[in-house]
Amino acid sequence: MEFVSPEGLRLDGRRPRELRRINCQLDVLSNADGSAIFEMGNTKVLAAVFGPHAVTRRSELREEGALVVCEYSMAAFSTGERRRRGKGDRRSTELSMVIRNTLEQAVITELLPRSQIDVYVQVLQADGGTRCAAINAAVLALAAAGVPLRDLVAGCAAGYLDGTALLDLNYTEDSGGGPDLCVALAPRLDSLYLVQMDNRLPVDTFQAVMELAREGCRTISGVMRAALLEHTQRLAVARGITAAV
Amino acid sequence: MSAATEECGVCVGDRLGTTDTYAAGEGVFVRDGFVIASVVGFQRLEPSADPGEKPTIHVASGDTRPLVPKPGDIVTVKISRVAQTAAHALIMCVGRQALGTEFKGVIRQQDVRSTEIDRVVIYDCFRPGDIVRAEVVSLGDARSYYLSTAKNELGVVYARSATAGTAMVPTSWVTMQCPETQAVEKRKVAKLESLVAA
Amino acid sequence: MHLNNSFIKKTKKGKVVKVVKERYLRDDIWSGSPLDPEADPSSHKLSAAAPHYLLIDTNVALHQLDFLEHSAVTDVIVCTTVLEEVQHKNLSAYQRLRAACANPAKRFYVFANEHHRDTHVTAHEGESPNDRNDRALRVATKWYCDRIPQDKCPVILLTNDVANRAAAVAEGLVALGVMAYCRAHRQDAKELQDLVAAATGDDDNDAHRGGGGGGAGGSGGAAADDGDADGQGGGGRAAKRKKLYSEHLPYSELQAGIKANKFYQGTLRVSRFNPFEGWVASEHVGEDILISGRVDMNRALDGDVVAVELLPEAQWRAPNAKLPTAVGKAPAGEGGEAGGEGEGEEEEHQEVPEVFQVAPGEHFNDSAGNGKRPTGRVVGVIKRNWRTRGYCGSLKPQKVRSGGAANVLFVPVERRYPMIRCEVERLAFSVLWEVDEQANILNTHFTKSVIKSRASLTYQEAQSRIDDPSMTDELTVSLRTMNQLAKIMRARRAAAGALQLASPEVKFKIDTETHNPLDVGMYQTGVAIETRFEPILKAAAAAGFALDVASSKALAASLDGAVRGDDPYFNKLVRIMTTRCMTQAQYFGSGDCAPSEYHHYGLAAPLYTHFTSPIREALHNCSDNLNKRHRNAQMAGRGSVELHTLIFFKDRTTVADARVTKVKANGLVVFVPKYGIEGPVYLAPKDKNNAASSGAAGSGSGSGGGSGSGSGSGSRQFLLDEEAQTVTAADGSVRYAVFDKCAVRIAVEEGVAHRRSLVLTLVDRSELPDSERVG
Repeated sequence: MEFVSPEGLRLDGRRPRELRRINCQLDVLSNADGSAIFEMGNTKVLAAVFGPHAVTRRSELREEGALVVCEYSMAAFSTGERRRRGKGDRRSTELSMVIRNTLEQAVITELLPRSQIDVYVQVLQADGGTRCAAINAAVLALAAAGVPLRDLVAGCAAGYLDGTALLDLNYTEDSGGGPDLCVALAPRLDSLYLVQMDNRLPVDTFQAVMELAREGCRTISGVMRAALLEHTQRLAVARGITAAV
Repeated sequence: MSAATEECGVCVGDRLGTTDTYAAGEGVFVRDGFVIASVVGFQRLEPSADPGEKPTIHVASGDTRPLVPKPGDIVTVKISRVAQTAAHALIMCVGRQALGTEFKGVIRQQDVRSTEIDRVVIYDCFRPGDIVRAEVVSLGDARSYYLSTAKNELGVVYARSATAGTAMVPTSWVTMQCPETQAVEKRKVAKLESLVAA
Repeated sequence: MHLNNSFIKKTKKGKVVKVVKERYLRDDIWSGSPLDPEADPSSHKLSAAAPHYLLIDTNVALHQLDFLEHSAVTDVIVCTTVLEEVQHKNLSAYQRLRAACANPAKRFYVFANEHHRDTHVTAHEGESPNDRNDRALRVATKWYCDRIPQDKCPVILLTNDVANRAAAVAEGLVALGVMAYCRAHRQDAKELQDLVAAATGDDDNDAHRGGGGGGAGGSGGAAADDGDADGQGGGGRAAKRKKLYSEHLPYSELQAGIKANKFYQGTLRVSRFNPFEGWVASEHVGEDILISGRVDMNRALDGDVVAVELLPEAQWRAPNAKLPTAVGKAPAGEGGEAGGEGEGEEEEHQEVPEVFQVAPGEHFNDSAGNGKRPTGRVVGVIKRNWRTRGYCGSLKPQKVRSGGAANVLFVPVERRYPMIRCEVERLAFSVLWEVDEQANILNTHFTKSVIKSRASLTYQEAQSRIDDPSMTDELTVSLRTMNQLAKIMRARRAAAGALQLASPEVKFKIDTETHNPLDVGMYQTGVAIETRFEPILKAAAAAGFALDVASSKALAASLDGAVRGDDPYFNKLVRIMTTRCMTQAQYFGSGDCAPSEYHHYGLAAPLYTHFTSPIREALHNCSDNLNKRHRNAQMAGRGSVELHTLIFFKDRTTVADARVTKVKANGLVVFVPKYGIEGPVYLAPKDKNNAASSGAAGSGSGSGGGSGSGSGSGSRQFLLDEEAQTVTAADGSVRYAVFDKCAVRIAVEEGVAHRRSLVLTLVDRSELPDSERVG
């Protein structure tokens, strides 16, 4: 299969270093403390944040900071083929762990001792890059919930197919069998919170792919930032109006 | 507070200034000499009362910021259970802000008042259902925060009479009276005048 | 801009799944032309100096790759629609196309129209993917037209799909078929026309509508139309695959057509020099029907009994004036003979794309007025002439003695003579003649009979009985009587004008001495169909003597009178050529054919009679078998002569005396009396690089299995004078006429697939050693 045409266009018409269309919606659920939908092309992920609240299982209580609990699941209708997907399968468990690790680093947990933050991530539509989209959605939801964060962490995937480093693989490209790098970056602090890779890559190629992924993270973070600011602004205006009345 | 200047919205991770020029307030943290926003919201500059001091920078989101009680906070709690040695309570508000979820707190016998602490009878101080102002003493044990009412302005602010169920009015710092039945009940009453004066 | 493509597909497990794929439409895809001010300079791939840009469709990309790969085809826009479709259909074609796109000299620009905001189209409700793609290409063409100044550099949509072309024209675009494009725009590189594949029948149509007068491929076009219609019915993408030939009609339809005089039945005789030209004799039309071109011949082969449909008179053609030339990988300029004017002739290009090309010639137009013949096309094959192809038997080369004497190597597989059963009574239908001693028939009686054969004799047995004076039994005596009668009848026929003919390959002389009464096979009479003699008449007229073909006697007399003082061989040559004009003697049972088809010119008798002994109980089978055997023997003879000629000439290149037997616009047909070889000679000097192309083998194989290259540079043009039967160089330096003496160099060359063939080259007669001179 040809993933990049000699004209430098990918199957879906993007160039190798282009992201898919991103769309962020905030506070989509009214009974969650913070929620967000993050869309990246046809990948659509919903995240809901509850808390901080008192820990539910005392044994997990952390004296020094907040406990981030993460649950990742895929909707049955998220892929073309309808399939019952529990939250308990290995893939979901692994992804829950990955997201949780990333978020625990992003949240300033010291400020919220002895509390627990629940993050529920559900993939509504899957078209590659769900891992990164899940992180992005969760971060947005946390920010919307007002949980103090170290940085607006963003995740982005990059791969290497047809001798070209490709940013933000979609499902077709993801199934192309090439190396697939998933990175979560705190752009301001310039620190990596997550690096995961399938397959193998030569070191110099890896550098290139890594740099591309980081670049993608910065861009995504910028988009998320703009969405958050706009949302806050809108809320403020709405409140101003109610105050006036 | 009134002198605070509202500024443009900031986002998590935005650098608001250096520690040389600003002091860190709420919703920010300091790293590598920078004051950085930790929540999304609006930046607010609070000039320091003392001209020599640096102004404090706050970031407050439009609505509530998530809160957990921390030592020193004045919280509003509701007594849930009264035992021989302690009154158990649910923390409802921290300062002026209501909590989304309830945290458990406990007012131990020795924290009810500052004097004659060994002669305190919990049953004469709190009843289930009372609304109490308290201060968070410490994070307490695994179950609950330790709260204290050992100050004049702390204690029961609202209580209903056992017989009529109407709100009682404080008559002294240890008693309250039902306006209907004239029945007098014992409470550790908060002295709210001092608060109003402040 | 963002778009979702969604479609439903079935998984391997059989589940039905909806697949949604994203597609991003861009505005940063450039036209790739410097003429477009908006195009990014880095994208400039097309030339600013190009006379036009071509935008090809999928079928052009799939089927006309040879054309596209030619170095003269540049500045082509390849849309991703086309690329994707080609990739799905034919991976090797895709790779070739990609290679062309990657070649900077070709200046093929890949235009990602599917990802362009302005050129992406979504399928309408009910629109087939095919139509959508065609529309996408038109939209892309339109986009280009809007962007590039059309007066400076027009954009041409190259498609062989008629419907698509019509739609494009309706939208104000320029759309052409590949062939039409070559003709209209590429006169600079005529060899392109040879590279246009014929698989797409649309071009034929196009040529007709555009060219008007053509007509040659009329049926071909119609056939393509049919194919098209069929394919559309199927609805698939395969609709675009055209049928090259029209289907043979079923036997019942043929019979009905023949009865209704719509079709004509006859045996196809393929031209000796052009495998795609042939004649079918038909007494209904009054002269032979010309079958010209591969499409019209419709897969019929020499000797097949075919049903022919006569084309409308407007489409009648003259036989081809030129020798066929091979289309090799000829370098540019090689195909200089492509005159290009003759519309009708050009059709031939498409009909014979792979191996043969009938050279188009100016001649066609010249002779359009007078040279036209009833032209037909084969609609069905009634009976295949299977035997001519697999010679039934095997040829085994044997050691040839130095003299080149060839043994006949043919061993017939079948030896099925009708058996004569003796001493058995059988039912028969007999003719009883009562004759006097002068063989005058006194009485004729047709009757049913019971016959009982007395003996079964071979010719040798019979002859020896006749010759042996000691034999006086009843059988022998009656044999002698019949011999006597036969001799008298033969003498009478000779007096009536039976011809003495000659044939170069098999010496075939009617000689009274060697024939005995039992040799009753080949006695036919007939009235000549004059047209058959036309070539020899023309040649004779040109050579200055008259042949009278009014009757066979007159012909025999005039043949005797055709003598040239300076060329003793002349008379024989004329006889040989006359022989050619005769159809082969045929055995048949009465009732098999119409009476008018009984004729044979070479023998003279008012009626065809076949003395059958009662042994021929199944006359029909018998005559068939005889015909077959006769033909097989001929084929075998030709085959072995051909083989041995090749062996003989393999290691020696000889210069030999030759006579011109036919003149064509670009060459001659010469006959070498010494070796009995006949073959084409090309007038223009051959390209030295192109020696691989081979001349047709001589010795009358008639297969035209190979042929020489084109007539080369335009400086040596030859003019054919049909009437005078001469061909003259344009500068007047050389002139050849029929029966002229000339000299040829004979050599064996190895052609494609190691087929060796004999190549004749014209040399100066001074090179000819005296010993080689004939007569």
